[in-house]
Amino acid sequence: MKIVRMKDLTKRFGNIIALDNVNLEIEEGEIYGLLGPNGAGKTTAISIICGLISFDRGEVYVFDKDIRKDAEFIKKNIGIVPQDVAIYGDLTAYENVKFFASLYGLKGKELKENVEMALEFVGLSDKAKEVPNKFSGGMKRRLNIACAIAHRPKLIIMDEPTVGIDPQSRNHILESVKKLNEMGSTIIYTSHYMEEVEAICTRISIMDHGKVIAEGTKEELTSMVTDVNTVYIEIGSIDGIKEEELKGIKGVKDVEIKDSTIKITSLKDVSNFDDIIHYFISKNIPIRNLRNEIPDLETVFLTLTGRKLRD
Amino acid sequence: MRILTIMLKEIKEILYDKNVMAIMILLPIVLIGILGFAFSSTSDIKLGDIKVIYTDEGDTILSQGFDIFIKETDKMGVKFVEIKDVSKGISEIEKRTYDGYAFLKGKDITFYKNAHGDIKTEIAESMIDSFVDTFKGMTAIASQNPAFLKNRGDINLNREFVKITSIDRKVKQTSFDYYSVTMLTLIILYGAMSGVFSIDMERTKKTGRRILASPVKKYEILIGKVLGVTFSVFIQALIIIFFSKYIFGANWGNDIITVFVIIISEIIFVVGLGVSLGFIIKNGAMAQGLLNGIIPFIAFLGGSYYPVKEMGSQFIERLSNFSPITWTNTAIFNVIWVGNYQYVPTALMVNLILAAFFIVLSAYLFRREAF
Repeated sequence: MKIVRMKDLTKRFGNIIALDNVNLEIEEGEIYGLLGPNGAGKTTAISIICGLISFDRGEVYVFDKDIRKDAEFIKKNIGIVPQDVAIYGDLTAYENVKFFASLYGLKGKELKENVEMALEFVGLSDKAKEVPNKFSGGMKRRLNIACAIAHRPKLIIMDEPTVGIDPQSRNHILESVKKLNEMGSTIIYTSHYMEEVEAICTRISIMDHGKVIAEGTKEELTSMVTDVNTVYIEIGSIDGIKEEELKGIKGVKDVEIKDSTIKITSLKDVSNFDDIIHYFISKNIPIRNLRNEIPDLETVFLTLTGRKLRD
Repeated sequence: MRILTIMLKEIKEILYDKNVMAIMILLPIVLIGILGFAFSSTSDIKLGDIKVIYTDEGDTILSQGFDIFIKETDKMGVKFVEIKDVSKGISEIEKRTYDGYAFLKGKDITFYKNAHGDIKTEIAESMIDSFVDTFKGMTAIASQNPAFLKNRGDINLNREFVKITSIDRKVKQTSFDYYSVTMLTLIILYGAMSGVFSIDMERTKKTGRRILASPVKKYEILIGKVLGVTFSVFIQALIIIFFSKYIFGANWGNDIITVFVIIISEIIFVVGLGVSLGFIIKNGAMAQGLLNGIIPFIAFLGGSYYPVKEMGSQFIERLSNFSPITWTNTAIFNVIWVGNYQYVPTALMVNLILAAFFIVLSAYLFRREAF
């Protein structure tokens, strides 16, 4: 089942085109990453999915239902973790989660159990009666998540949930995302931290200036921007190494020798790694270090847009 | 159900806020104390004096009864001054030198007043009305049964009229009585701040977006907020009333339910005002500044700090009609002191029309855009 389907979605704010003919499909059970710099259109896209803002043109279906006709059903089954911590500092952690869960129609025993479950999930059970004003940034972020999951939504949207927190809390949140996905929720995860998206997302859309400029798995995305593999080999001495011999290996396009490191660039679709290693063994040249350069999403973005993600 | 959820959240947020509670409860109590003590010991500001002029062209029985009546009421702080010239009496009332003018002619008394709703005028009129009603009743009995008069004698009979008409109630309004009401209605005006912040906080804490992402309807949010803030301000008002009654001994009359109804109508009005300002001015501090500028002016015209009539300016008196607090204070004072409900519908109408206007405005603004 397609959890989200956007077709030719366009949204303008005055003269600014926030979303420009966006087409996007998210399958049930995915952790779907929306990657892009600030102003790319990620938050606008998720605001439309959540029914927070209208759109000018196109179609949006969530849970196979038209957002313009079944907004209430859709909203009931979505949990949103906003970019900014959105909690009440003077109410206790328990009261915060209870309030937001109540808005989704939970009551009585179910409400109590779900609130306790959500607090336990984010590791704040022992802080249930304390007010968030006294919490650390990471704890507030975790409570921010608890408020979004107590009603057990089918789709959880996390809008930059790790901004401005310590590495330990970030790891906790990333682990939580995986766990929530394992428990059956589909996740939409927006970020401009490509490492996070690479680490947890099963599929990724790269957005820029309101457009989806690339979409697919990480491997599919990286293959879009390069047709070569680059290997760095560090050896003790370059004596006996002949550049021409290396270039003669099947698939090798280029060889650069600098100090004790040799950079070998090969065609991606040619499997020649064994041949390269064998060359060094046959020459009795011990390899001290070996590194295979794989393009990351930053490279993908840079290649596609000519800019860095965090420019 | 979701309205109740939002309402309860608003109540908790306001009642948990120590700063708001200090301002809304401690401040008026301190002010009642300070103003009450200050004005009770100052000789030239006597809130309790009621000054009435009269012309006596009544028949013998009425004149005798009225003489005893004014002697008895003098003990209660109502001063009657005789004036011979009727036109001069009326002109004194036009100039508002006195609280009322009683003109005795034959068997009737005509009462002239200028300041509608002024509590001292209303008390004087109420006492004279009671006297006239009882006098007419007793003379009707006497005309049917002359033995009744013979047995008691005119003077004694009139004493009974006075005994009945002197009304078993407190007549002299102390400064504590006055400021308990006016400081309460004044601080309720500041309840508009809670209305502003109920909207502004959702904006600054970013929780508004989260609420709107839930299946709750905008009208449920608005109703929940208005009810929640209204209830919170009413709780604060109850504490002030309780404190002023049992610590300062302020008179809240015998019909507290009607007083509550008037107060609630004022609270709904100010909450509506605050909520709409929260939507119009998307900056809580700026909206707070605006309210801080407007409220003292509205309160001044409403007699919160000092009775408008005592200032002796007809211009300010006329201007005071534009302050909703004027009508609220007048209605409450009349219910407490005279048992007069004449001004209650006006006060309710003024407050509820303003409340409806601001709530509809808020609904319109909220529909157009989010917090």
